[in-house]
Amino acid sequence: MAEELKRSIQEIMKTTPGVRGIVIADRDGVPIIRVNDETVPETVMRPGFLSSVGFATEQSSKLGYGVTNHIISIHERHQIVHFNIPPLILSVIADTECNTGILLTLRNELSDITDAVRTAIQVA
Amino acid sequence: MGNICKSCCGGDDSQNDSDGQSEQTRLLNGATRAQAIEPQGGEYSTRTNSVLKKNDEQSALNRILHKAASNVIDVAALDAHGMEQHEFSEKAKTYSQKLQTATVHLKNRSKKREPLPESNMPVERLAALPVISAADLELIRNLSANMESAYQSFAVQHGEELIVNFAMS
Repeated sequence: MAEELKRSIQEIMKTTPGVRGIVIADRDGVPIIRVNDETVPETVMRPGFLSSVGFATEQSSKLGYGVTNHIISIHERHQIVHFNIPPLILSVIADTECNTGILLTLRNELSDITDAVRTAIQVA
Repeated sequence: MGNICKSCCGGDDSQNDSDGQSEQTRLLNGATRAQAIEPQGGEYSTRTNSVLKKNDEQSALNRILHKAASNVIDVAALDAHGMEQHEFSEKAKTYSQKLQTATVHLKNRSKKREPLPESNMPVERLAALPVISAADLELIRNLSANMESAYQSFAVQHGEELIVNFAMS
């Protein structure tokens, strides 16, 4: 199943220019599936980084504005969009110039994959 | 107390997610972190009835306390958030095993964004595609001509002077 999911993610990455990597992790920052090219820095895949996102969404949801849907951070070389899909965190790594609005549509496009991952882990 | 916290922190669990998954839900066992903490009153539960009643009250208070604590923004807790290396690798192994054994059900493929038409298709296939009908072509031409004329006729018609002189005789 893992290979099929990776293929599906790669297909979506191909149709979205500028996307360099997609990581599905749990809230503790343990990667479940990751697909990326060689330009993505290894630091993005570190559990310390991924778990801090889970923590940040959890805390920022308490600000009184409702649940945090996504966090966008744009850096010198890459931009990263983290989607809060409890109990998962979906991270999309793309080039800085990539259209952020298009990246936000990936939540919907990847929903069947995140659903499949969640079901596989929780049911199996 | 719980209601006050709920109203000021927006911590209504039911609005977090439609299928009951909140941000504190963990993937593997589904338990929340707040629930994982044992109420302190548990050790008194085998004593007399009065103590038991008191204990119920104590655990109810503890529940309220935990609920309130989960609604408090605690950035310093990030340090205690990390996992041990062996715990991390154990979890990663469990995930990979579960993914290998599970069967995939990617049912919602229709949600996929429609890509633009293939631009790198073979020339003979491209040439064999049916041409656009004359009526459609005429419609496109008329619409674009209308749009162009509408754009050309755009003009600002000012009713009164934008700049006026004050106190000038």
